Amino acid sequence: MNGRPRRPDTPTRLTVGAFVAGAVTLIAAVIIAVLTGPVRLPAGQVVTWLATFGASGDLTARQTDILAVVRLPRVALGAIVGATLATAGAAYQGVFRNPLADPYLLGVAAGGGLGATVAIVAGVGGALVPLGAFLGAVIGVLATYSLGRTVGGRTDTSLILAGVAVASFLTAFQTYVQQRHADTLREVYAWILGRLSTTGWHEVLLVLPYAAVGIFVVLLHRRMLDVLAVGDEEATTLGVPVQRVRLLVVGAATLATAAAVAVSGLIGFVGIIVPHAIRLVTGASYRVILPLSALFGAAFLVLADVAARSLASPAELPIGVVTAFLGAPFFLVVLRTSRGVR
Amino acid sequence: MIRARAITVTLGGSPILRDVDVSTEPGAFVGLIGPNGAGKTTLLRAIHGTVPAAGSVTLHGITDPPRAHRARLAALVPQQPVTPRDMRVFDYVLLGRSPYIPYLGVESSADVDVAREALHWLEMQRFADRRLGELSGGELQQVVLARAIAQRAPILLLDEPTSALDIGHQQQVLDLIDRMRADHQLTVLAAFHDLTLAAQYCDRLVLLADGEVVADGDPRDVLREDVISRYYGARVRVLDNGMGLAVVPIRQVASGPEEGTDD
Repeated sequence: MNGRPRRPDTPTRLTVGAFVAGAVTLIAAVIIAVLTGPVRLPAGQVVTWLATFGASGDLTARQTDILAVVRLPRVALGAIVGATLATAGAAYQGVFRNPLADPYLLGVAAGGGLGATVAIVAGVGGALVPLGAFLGAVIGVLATYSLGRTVGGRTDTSLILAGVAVASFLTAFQTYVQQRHADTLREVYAWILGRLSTTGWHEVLLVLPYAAVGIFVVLLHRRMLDVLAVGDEEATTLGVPVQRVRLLVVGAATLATAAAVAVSGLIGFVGIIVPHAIRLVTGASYRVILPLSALFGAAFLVLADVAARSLASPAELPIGVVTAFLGAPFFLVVLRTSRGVR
Repeated sequence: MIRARAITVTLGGSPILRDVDVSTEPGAFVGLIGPNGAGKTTLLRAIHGTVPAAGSVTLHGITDPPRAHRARLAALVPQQPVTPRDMRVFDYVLLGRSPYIPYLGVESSADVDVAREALHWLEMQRFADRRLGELSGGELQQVVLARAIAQRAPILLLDEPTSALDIGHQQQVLDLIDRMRADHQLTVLAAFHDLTLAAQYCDRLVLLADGEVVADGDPRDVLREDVISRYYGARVRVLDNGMGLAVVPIRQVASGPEEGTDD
């Protein structure tokens, strides 16, 4: 894609062409998303305004307000959450050598759901719901991790199974709390289905530090994830500190996902669809899968939000419904094609 | 050079290896033999430090090196290597350079050259861009060896390197290992099931039984009919035609209807 023919005996690296394709897709998704909404905005001026970071572009004050206070924060939130979920999913799949692994499986989703429900039921106010979700998500993963280590030693399967057990328990508890407080059912339900609603840039600023650090740490380990593909024991004989890699990557991916869950609720399948689509096209190297997951994950969720806002307009579909509607069939295709992945 | 002293391994409460001493001279090709469950694989893993073991291991003059250093001293080829089917051959061979690449770094052009040389040495360059899942068993075994060569370690630990191959490919791979040993001055310690192949390629054999070394020496001294009978529970003839030993299993004559009436 970048002009000169590639020698076959060179390491797999992210090509300029693939990176540009991801960046262009994301930019296109952002432009489509900011132009979508009840108020029509002039496309040319909006693009000029975006390209100059608000310095020029003949927009009225009201149009600028819609753009800068309503639409852009929401698009930015979608991009950050999408990049986080997709990168974290790819990281988990690499660390656990399991094509279906995802932070959600290890108790992030169930813990976040419980935390948010408790916060909503307690009536602590909207601002503290993300905090409740974040704490719940982190506690969920810590429970899974400690349980997985005590019961099953160090195998990958025991951790996934512990995740299933912890998630079932937390979900049951969450349902109980939810049923006891039927008056907040709507609010809890809306949160669980996932949504990208913003009040100015508040949510974006809340999630950004975790997402940036988490994605950065995961990207730094891209070569390590390729080494882990040959399994813990062989990676150890190649001099890799397997436990440290696993702890750092899982920790970073989980913290970033917990932050994303805190501001956007439970948006499923992004962490599985996006990395797998990329894997099918580009091959197995995490050097390519991780950065492209971030770019295409961001673009995917921005576009899914466009669909969520416009399919049932003027009503909004929960974005988690849109991603699951696309994700569930895709999940089955992955299951069918991943039979040989060890 | 390998010097393993008083290696004792206990897994899940049961002793797997007891006080095992094994040492090899530089450039030697030593075979590790013994019945199933004797502890051959565990000994190789203990020498490479992937299983907790009491005792001490000296590799190439360095006693109990830390993990990262150990990977530069010894390459371990497991019996069933994990070969992700979607991974490119070149990327796989390049994994052998991991011990030399900083934690968060990427490979240097020197590392790429070493991986290319390893593939070239095995005449596998044309496979560089293929996926591991597309290779035959013999090709795959060669690619695994290419990774071990790229590791540039003076010691090569092999766990039944040919058990999945037919006789032609067995010979081809063992010739290759022997040539690697000669060309790169490697010390090779390899576990074998096939005693004839072990006798053919190894300067020395170490017989493990029930977690202990029960014989150690020249193949002619170790592969005796009574020894094999005692530790393997097998009836064999050991033939020596001057080109090496051949261990031939002897069939037990089943009592047919005619012989049965004589008794």
